[in-house]
Amino acid sequence: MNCPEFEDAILEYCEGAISPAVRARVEAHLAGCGECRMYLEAQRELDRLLARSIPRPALSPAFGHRLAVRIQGERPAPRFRRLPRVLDWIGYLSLAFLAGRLLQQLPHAGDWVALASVAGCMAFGLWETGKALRHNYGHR
Amino acid sequence: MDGVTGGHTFESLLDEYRDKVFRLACSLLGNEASAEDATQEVFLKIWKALPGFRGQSSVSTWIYAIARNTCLSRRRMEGARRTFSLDEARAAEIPAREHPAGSDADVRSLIDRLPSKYRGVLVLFYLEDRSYQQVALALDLPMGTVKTFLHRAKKELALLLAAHATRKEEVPS
Repeated sequence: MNCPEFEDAILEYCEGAISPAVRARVEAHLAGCGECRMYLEAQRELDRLLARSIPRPALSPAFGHRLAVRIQGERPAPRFRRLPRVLDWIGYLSLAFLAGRLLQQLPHAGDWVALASVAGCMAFGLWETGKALRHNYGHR
Repeated sequence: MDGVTGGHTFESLLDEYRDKVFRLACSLLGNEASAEDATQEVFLKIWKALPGFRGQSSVSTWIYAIARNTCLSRRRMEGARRTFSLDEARAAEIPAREHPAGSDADVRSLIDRLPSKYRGVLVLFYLEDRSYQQVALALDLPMGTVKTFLHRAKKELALLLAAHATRKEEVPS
Protein backbone atom coordinates (compact mmCIF):
# COMPACT_ATOMS: atom_id res chain seq x y z
CA MET A 1 0.00 0.00 0.00
CA ASN A 2 1.64 3.18 -1.21
CA CYS A 3 -0.88 5.55 0.36
CA PRO A 4 -0.96 4.61 4.08
CA GLU A 5 -2.80 7.83 4.91
CA PHE A 6 -5.82 6.42 3.02
CA GLU A 7 -5.63 2.89 4.38
CA ASP A 8 -8.08 3.25 7.30
CA ALA A 9 -10.34 5.58 5.32
CA ILE A 10 -10.62 2.97 2.56
CA LEU A 11 -11.46 0.30 5.16
CA GLU A 12 -14.22 2.50 6.58
CA TYR A 13 -15.39 3.30 3.07
CA CYS A 14 -15.66 -0.43 2.45
CA GLU A 15 -17.54 -0.90 5.74
CA GLY A 16 -19.99 1.79 4.69
CA ALA A 17 -19.55 4.01 7.75
CA ILE A 18 -17.90 7.17 6.56
CA SER A 19 -18.82 10.84 6.63
CA PRO A 20 -19.81 12.48 3.33
CA ALA A 21 -16.72 14.75 3.43
CA VAL A 22 -14.29 11.82 3.90
CA ARG A 23 -16.20 9.77 1.32
CA ALA A 24 -15.72 12.54 -1.27
CA ARG A 25 -12.00 12.75 -0.44
CA VAL A 26 -11.56 8.95 -0.68
CA GLU A 27 -13.46 8.75 -3.95
CA ALA A 28 -11.38 11.58 -5.43
CA HIS A 29 -8.22 9.72 -4.40
CA LEU A 30 -9.47 6.37 -5.73
CA ALA A 31 -10.22 7.95 -9.10
CA GLY A 32 -6.53 8.68 -9.54
CA CYS A 33 -4.84 5.77 -7.70
CA GLY A 34 -4.96 2.30 -9.22
CA GLU A 35 -3.22 0.66 -6.30
CA CYS A 36 -5.80 1.98 -3.82
CA ARG A 37 -8.58 0.76 -6.12
CA MET A 38 -7.00 -2.69 -6.00
CA TYR A 39 -6.71 -2.41 -2.23
CA LEU A 40 -10.41 -1.47 -2.01
CA GLU A 41 -11.37 -4.43 -4.19
CA ALA A 42 -9.29 -6.77 -2.01
CA GLN A 43 -11.03 -5.39 1.09
CA ARG A 44 -14.45 -5.88 -0.48
CA GLU A 45 -13.54 -9.46 -1.26
CA LEU A 46 -12.35 -9.96 2.34
CA ASP A 47 -15.59 -8.41 3.59
CA ARG A 48 -17.68 -10.84 1.53
CA LEU A 49 -15.53 -13.74 2.69
CA LEU A 50 -15.94 -12.78 6.35
CA ALA A 51 -19.69 -12.20 6.05
CA ARG A 52 -20.01 -15.70 4.58
CA SER A 53 -17.63 -17.40 7.01
CA ILE A 54 -19.19 -15.90 10.13
CA PRO A 55 -22.87 -16.82 9.84
CA ARG A 56 -25.27 -15.62 12.51
CA PRO A 57 -25.64 -18.36 15.10
CA ALA A 58 -29.06 -19.15 16.56
CA LEU A 59 -30.05 -20.28 20.02
CA SER A 60 -31.44 -23.79 20.18
CA PRO A 61 -35.26 -24.10 20.32
CA ALA A 62 -34.97 -25.58 23.83
CA PHE A 63 -33.27 -22.47 25.22
CA GLY A 64 -36.40 -20.92 26.73
CA HIS A 65 -37.55 -24.17 28.32
CA ARG A 66 -34.11 -24.90 29.80
CA LEU A 67 -33.96 -21.41 31.27
CA ALA A 68 -37.46 -21.72 32.75
CA VAL A 69 -36.46 -25.02 34.39
CA ARG A 70 -33.30 -23.48 35.86
CA ILE A 71 -35.24 -20.50 37.20
CA GLN A 72 -37.86 -22.81 38.70
CA GLY A 73 -35.02 -24.67 40.43
CA GLU A 74 -33.91 -21.42 42.05
CA ARG A 75 -37.28 -20.72 43.69
CA PRO A 76 -37.90 -21.93 47.27
CA ALA A 77 -40.47 -24.72 47.61
CA PRO A 78 -43.82 -22.93 48.09
CA ARG A 79 -45.21 -25.31 50.72
CA PHE A 80 -42.39 -24.39 53.13
CA ARG A 81 -42.59 -20.68 52.37
CA ARG A 82 -44.61 -19.66 55.47
CA LEU A 83 -43.50 -22.44 57.81
CA PRO A 84 -40.56 -20.75 59.60
CA ARG A 85 -42.61 -17.61 60.31
CA VAL A 86 -45.45 -19.72 61.71
CA LEU A 87 -42.97 -21.66 63.85
CA ASP A 88 -41.64 -18.38 65.23
CA TRP A 89 -45.05 -17.26 66.36
CA ILE A 90 -45.94 -20.63 67.85
CA GLY A 91 -42.67 -20.45 69.80
CA TYR A 92 -43.31 -16.93 71.05
CA LEU A 93 -46.87 -17.66 72.14
CA SER A 94 -45.88 -20.91 73.89
CA LEU A 95 -43.12 -19.10 75.69
CA ALA A 96 -45.43 -16.31 76.84
CA PHE A 97 -48.00 -18.85 78.03
CA LEU A 98 -45.37 -20.89 79.90
CA ALA A 99 -43.84 -17.79 81.49
CA GLY A 100 -47.27 -16.60 82.66
CA ARG A 101 -48.13 -19.95 84.23
CA LEU A 102 -44.81 -20.18 86.05
CA LEU A 103 -44.97 -16.60 87.33
CA GLN A 104 -48.39 -17.30 88.84
CA GLN A 105 -46.91 -20.10 90.96
CA LEU A 106 -43.79 -18.34 92.27
CA PRO A 107 -44.00 -16.59 95.69
CA HIS A 108 -40.48 -15.11 95.88
CA ALA A 109 -39.06 -12.15 93.95
CA GLY A 110 -35.60 -13.76 93.52
CA ASP A 111 -37.16 -16.57 91.66
CA TRP A 112 -38.84 -14.06 89.39
CA VAL A 113 -35.47 -12.70 88.32
CA ALA A 114 -34.08 -16.17 87.67
CA LEU A 115 -37.14 -17.09 85.74
CA ALA A 116 -37.01 -13.90 83.70
CA SER A 117 -33.37 -14.73 82.77
CA VAL A 118 -34.28 -18.24 81.67
CA ALA A 119 -37.26 -16.94 79.74
CA GLY A 120 -35.07 -14.28 78.07
CA CYS A 121 -32.54 -16.91 77.00
CA MET A 122 -35.28 -19.13 75.65
CA ALA A 123 -36.86 -16.26 73.74
CA PHE A 124 -33.52 -15.28 72.25
CA GLY A 125 -32.84 -18.88 71.25
CA LEU A 126 -36.23 -19.20 69.59
CA TRP A 127 -35.81 -15.91 67.80
CA GLU A 128 -32.39 -16.89 66.43
CA THR A 129 -33.70 -20.30 65.39
CA GLY A 130 -36.51 -18.61 63.50
CA LYS A 131 -34.06 -16.30 61.75
CA ALA A 132 -31.83 -19.20 60.76
CA LEU A 133 -34.77 -21.17 59.42
CA ARG A 134 -35.96 -18.19 57.37
CA HIS A 135 -32.46 -17.65 55.98
CA ASN A 136 -32.07 -21.31 55.01
CA TYR A 137 -35.35 -21.27 53.14
CA GLY A 138 -34.30 -18.18 51.26
CA HIS A 139 -36.87 -15.73 52.66
CA ARG A 140 -35.99 -12.07 52.91
CA MET B 1 -40.47 -16.06 35.22
CA ASP B 2 -41.82 -12.94 36.84
CA GLY B 3 -40.06 -9.76 37.97
CA VAL B 4 -40.61 -6.11 37.14
CA THR B 5 -38.10 -3.32 37.77
CA GLY B 6 -38.00 0.19 36.35
CA GLY B 7 -40.53 -0.68 33.69
CA HIS B 8 -38.53 -3.72 32.61
CA THR B 9 -40.00 -7.14 33.07
CA PHE B 10 -37.70 -10.12 32.95
CA GLU B 11 -39.61 -11.40 29.93
CA SER B 12 -39.15 -8.14 28.02
CA LEU B 13 -35.41 -8.16 28.75
CA LEU B 14 -35.18 -11.79 27.70
CA ASP B 15 -36.96 -11.05 24.42
CA GLU B 16 -34.85 -7.99 23.66
CA TYR B 17 -31.42 -9.19 24.73
CA ARG B 18 -31.39 -12.98 24.40
CA ASP B 19 -29.94 -13.04 20.88
CA LYS B 20 -27.62 -10.06 21.47
CA VAL B 21 -26.14 -11.70 24.56
CA PHE B 22 -25.79 -14.96 22.67
CA ARG B 23 -23.93 -13.28 19.80
CA LEU B 24 -21.65 -11.51 22.27
CA ALA B 25 -20.98 -14.85 23.98
CA CYS B 26 -20.23 -16.46 20.61
CA SER B 27 -17.70 -13.75 19.81
CA LEU B 28 -16.00 -14.06 23.20
CA LEU B 29 -16.15 -17.84 23.62
CA GLY B 30 -15.91 -18.93 19.98
CA ASN B 31 -18.16 -21.91 20.51
CA GLU B 32 -21.93 -22.07 20.13
CA ALA B 33 -22.62 -24.71 22.79
CA SER B 34 -20.54 -22.89 25.37
CA ALA B 35 -22.08 -19.55 24.33
CA GLU B 36 -25.59 -20.93 24.84
CA ASP B 37 -24.71 -22.20 28.32
CA ALA B 38 -23.18 -18.81 29.13
CA THR B 39 -26.35 -17.08 27.89
CA GLN B 40 -28.41 -19.27 30.24
CA GLU B 41 -26.12 -18.30 33.10
CA VAL B 42 -26.39 -14.60 32.21
CA PHE B 43 -30.18 -14.61 32.25
CA LEU B 44 -30.29 -16.58 35.47
CA LYS B 45 -28.09 -13.87 37.04
CA ILE B 46 -30.34 -11.17 35.56
CA TRP B 47 -33.42 -12.90 36.98
CA LYS B 48 -31.82 -12.99 40.44
CA ALA B 49 -30.48 -9.43 40.34
CA LEU B 50 -33.37 -7.65 38.61
CA PRO B 51 -35.31 -6.87 41.82
CA GLY B 52 -32.20 -5.06 43.11
CA PHE B 53 -31.49 -3.18 39.87
CA ARG B 54 -31.95 0.51 40.64
CA GLY B 55 -31.04 1.94 37.26
CA GLN B 56 -27.56 3.15 38.27
CA SER B 57 -26.61 2.48 34.64
CA SER B 58 -28.73 1.87 31.57
CA VAL B 59 -30.22 -1.59 31.43
CA SER B 60 -28.22 -2.48 28.30
CA THR B 61 -24.94 -1.46 29.97
CA TRP B 62 -25.89 -3.57 33.00
CA ILE B 63 -26.82 -6.62 30.93
CA TYR B 64 -23.72 -6.45 28.73
CA ALA B 65 -21.50 -6.08 31.82
CA ILE B 66 -23.02 -9.25 33.30
CA ALA B 67 -22.61 -11.00 29.96
CA ARG B 68 -18.97 -9.98 29.53
CA ASN B 69 -18.03 -10.96 33.09
CA THR B 70 -19.81 -14.30 32.77
CA CYS B 71 -18.13 -15.09 29.46
CA LEU B 72 -14.68 -14.02 30.63
CA SER B 73 -14.84 -16.11 33.80
CA ARG B 74 -16.18 -19.01 31.76
CA ARG B 75 -13.30 -18.62 29.32
CA ARG B 76 -10.83 -18.65 32.21
CA MET B 77 -12.47 -21.79 33.59
CA GLU B 78 -12.46 -23.54 30.26
CA GLY B 79 -8.74 -22.88 30.05
CA ALA B 80 -7.17 -23.00 26.66
CA ARG B 81 -8.70 -20.92 23.91
CA ARG B 82 -11.37 -22.77 21.99
CA THR B 83 -11.60 -22.89 18.23
CA PHE B 84 -14.28 -20.96 16.41
CA SER B 85 -16.36 -24.03 15.67
CA LEU B 86 -19.81 -22.99 14.55
CA ASP B 87 -21.22 -26.39 15.38
CA GLU B 88 -19.38 -29.10 13.50
CA ALA B 89 -22.55 -30.94 12.62
CA ARG B 90 -24.02 -27.85 11.01
CA ALA B 91 -20.78 -27.00 9.25
CA ALA B 92 -20.74 -30.49 7.78
CA GLU B 93 -24.14 -29.86 6.21
CA ILE B 94 -22.95 -26.73 4.42
CA PRO B 95 -21.01 -27.45 1.28
CA ALA B 96 -17.60 -25.81 1.35
CA ARG B 97 -17.40 -22.77 -0.94
CA GLU B 98 -13.89 -22.47 -2.15
CA HIS B 99 -12.08 -19.18 -2.09
CA PRO B 100 -8.45 -18.70 -3.19
CA ALA B 101 -7.60 -18.67 0.51
CA GLY B 102 -9.61 -21.82 1.22
CA SER B 103 -12.99 -22.92 2.55
CA ASP B 104 -15.10 -21.13 5.15
CA ALA B 105 -13.70 -23.56 7.73
CA ASP B 106 -10.17 -22.50 6.76
CA VAL B 107 -11.14 -18.86 7.20
CA ARG B 108 -12.63 -19.57 10.62
CA SER B 109 -9.52 -21.38 11.72
CA LEU B 110 -7.45 -18.38 10.59
CA ILE B 111 -9.76 -16.02 12.48
CA ASP B 112 -9.10 -18.14 15.54
CA ARG B 113 -5.41 -17.40 15.25
CA LEU B 114 -5.96 -13.66 15.69
CA PRO B 115 -5.28 -12.10 19.11
CA SER B 116 -8.44 -12.49 21.21
CA LYS B 117 -9.21 -8.76 21.45
CA TYR B 118 -9.12 -8.39 17.66
CA ARG B 119 -10.96 -11.64 17.06
CA GLY B 120 -13.82 -10.67 19.40
CA VAL B 121 -14.35 -7.32 17.68
CA LEU B 122 -14.10 -8.81 14.18
CA VAL B 123 -16.55 -11.64 14.85
CA LEU B 124 -19.04 -9.44 16.69
CA PHE B 125 -18.90 -6.81 13.93
CA TYR B 126 -20.12 -9.38 11.39
CA LEU B 127 -22.59 -10.99 13.80
CA GLU B 128 -24.09 -7.55 14.48
CA ASP B 129 -24.60 -6.60 10.84
CA ARG B 130 -21.50 -4.42 10.64
CA SER B 131 -22.55 -2.05 13.42
CA TYR B 132 -19.62 -0.28 15.12
CA GLN B 133 -22.05 1.11 17.67
CA GLN B 134 -23.45 -2.27 18.72
CA VAL B 135 -19.93 -3.71 19.06
CA ALA B 136 -18.82 -0.71 21.13
CA LEU B 137 -21.84 -1.07 23.42
CA ALA B 138 -21.52 -4.83 23.87
CA LEU B 139 -17.77 -4.83 24.50
CA ASP B 140 -17.75 -1.50 26.38
CA LEU B 141 -15.11 -0.05 24.07
CA PRO B 142 -14.89 3.46 22.59
CA MET B 143 -15.97 3.59 18.96
CA GLY B 144 -12.45 4.59 17.86
CA THR B 145 -11.00 1.52 19.56
CA VAL B 146 -13.55 -0.71 17.85
CA LYS B 147 -12.49 0.66 14.44
CA THR B 148 -8.80 0.33 15.29
CA PHE B 149 -9.15 -3.29 16.49
CA LEU B 150 -11.35 -4.18 13.52
CA HIS B 151 -8.90 -2.77 10.99
CA ARG B 152 -5.93 -4.43 12.67
CA ALA B 153 -7.85 -7.71 12.67
CA LYS B 154 -8.56 -7.39 8.95
CA LYS B 155 -4.96 -6.50 8.12
CA GLU B 156 -3.63 -9.44 10.13
CA LEU B 157 -6.21 -11.76 8.64
CA ALA B 158 -5.33 -10.63 5.12
CA LEU B 159 -1.71 -11.59 5.82
CA LEU B 160 -2.76 -14.96 7.24
CA LEU B 161 -5.01 -15.62 4.23
CA ALA B 162 -2.20 -14.73 1.82
CA ALA B 163 0.21 -17.06 3.63
CA HIS B 164 -2.41 -19.80 3.68
CA ALA B 165 -3.07 -19.41 -0.07
CA THR B 166 0.67 -19.62 -0.78
CA ARG B 167 0.95 -22.82 1.26
CA LYS B 168 -1.98 -24.32 -0.64
CA GLU B 169 -0.28 -23.54 -3.95
CA GLU B 170 2.96 -25.11 -2.79
CA VAL B 171 1.27 -28.31 -1.61
CA PRO B 172 -1.21 -29.35 -4.34
CA SER B 173 -3.95 -31.66 -3.04
